[in-house]
Amino acid sequence: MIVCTSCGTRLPQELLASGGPSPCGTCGAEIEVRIFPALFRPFPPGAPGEALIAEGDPGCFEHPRKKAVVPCAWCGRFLCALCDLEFHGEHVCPGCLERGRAKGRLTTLETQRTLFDRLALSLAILPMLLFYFTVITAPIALYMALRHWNSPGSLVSPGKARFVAAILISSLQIFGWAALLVFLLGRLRARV
Amino acid sequence: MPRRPRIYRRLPGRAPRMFGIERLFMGPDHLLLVRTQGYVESYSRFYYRDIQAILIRRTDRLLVGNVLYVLLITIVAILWAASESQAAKIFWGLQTALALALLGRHLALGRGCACTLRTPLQQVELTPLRRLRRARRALAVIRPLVDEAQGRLSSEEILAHAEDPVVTVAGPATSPAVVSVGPPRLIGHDSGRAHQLLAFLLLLDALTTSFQISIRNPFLNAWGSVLFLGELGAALGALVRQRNSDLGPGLRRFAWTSLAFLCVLVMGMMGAMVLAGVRAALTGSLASVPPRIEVFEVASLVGTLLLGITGLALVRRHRRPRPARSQPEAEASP
Repeated sequence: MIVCTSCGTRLPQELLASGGPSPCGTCGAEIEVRIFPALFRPFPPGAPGEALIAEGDPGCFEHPRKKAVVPCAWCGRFLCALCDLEFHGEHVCPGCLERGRAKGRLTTLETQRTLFDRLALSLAILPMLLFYFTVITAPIALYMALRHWNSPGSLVSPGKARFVAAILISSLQIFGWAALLVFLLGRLRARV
Repeated sequence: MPRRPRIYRRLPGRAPRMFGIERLFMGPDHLLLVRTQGYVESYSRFYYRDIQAILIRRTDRLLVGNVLYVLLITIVAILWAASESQAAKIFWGLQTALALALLGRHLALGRGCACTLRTPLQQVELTPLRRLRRARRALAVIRPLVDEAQGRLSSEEILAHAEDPVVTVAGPATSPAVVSVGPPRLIGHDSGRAHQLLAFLLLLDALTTSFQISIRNPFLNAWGSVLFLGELGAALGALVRQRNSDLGPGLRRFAWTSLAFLCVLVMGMMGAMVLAGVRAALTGSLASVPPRIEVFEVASLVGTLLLGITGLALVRRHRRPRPARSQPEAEASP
């Protein structure tokens, strides 16, 4: 059932089939709908797992009384229909999937990433507005860029360019501060 | 070091958020909605094989934006014309040019829309696609990929499937395709009384303002302030009442436009007061530089009169008995 996104009432079949913009029968909002076959695909019912009948039948690792139907493609454990999860064409167990997600090995299950490269670059650039802060922020930016060099960056704009820029800018700032310190010390010595 | 290939291609559009942005990307087998908030990116994936429908609903974004931008331009242009010093003229001239440029960009982006994507488990608004042209361009790119993953349906097939009671209408209660999206909202009848009250208050405000322009009286000013607060309350009340009601788009727009007009009016008057204060501080005397609120009084008179008359006409049209809808006939016909 497709409903109007403005008033929430069910859209007439003619509107769904037309494909072009048509007004909603209730609120008059102009809507165009593109329908795909997935809308009419029945949802596959979940399998509860068959109980063991014969003595020698292999049982599920998690549910020993259920009949194993497939081994896990990653750890090899026997899985019943209940434990069998299809993931990109492979049959895996929930434990493997959860471990892979927790360790960040499965990119397609990631829902969030921290952008350390942007953070390091911001730490290198933004404090330059108030130059004195760079004495603290430049080493932090450099440390962050080196520490997280291998951390996964943005999923949509990968690359190390921001890390490189952060390292260059923060190194220049550190070099500048060091040069200033040497210069001041030299002048102090000359006075003494 | 080998360069990592990009697997995502960016689709047109972006939606600014508080401290962040939302963008839409196209992957090999899914759409990726990326929300960047500060230094954290959050991802939502919509696999092409799971997309059930994409709905594009036209919105009044262009019209509302035009009204707001025109009001903004009018206000800054008035301030530009009213300013006497060279520095103020340059400042307000730049503001006017900026507002004009923003209006031009807004017009160039075209009509607004709300693009919604539906999967078996959720219905999500694709916020980066809030302009009709962009949404259609994105849809033209996405559609072949979804067709490739699922196949294509003709209009006849859609009609035949939609009439199939087993899958769609009376599907099993446990089917997530029916249950998870949530029950449709209940639409109640509304006579438009809140909108009528708002229209009456606007007309009363127009009458009061017409007196205020000719007669300067503190009691009249106080009455005008009370009326203004009443209008704000009535506009908010009308907005609450029109939710999940059968009120037409015209009356809905009327409530939103009234609220926007009142907000812009009060902001403009406050701006004029601040400007007068700044100028008084520069000249050293408050009495020598009175705030020029006559302009706003005239704008208020014209605006409230137009909105009040329009509102009453729309309420009247809404209450007129409507002919029976053609939908049941169409459903009844084979």
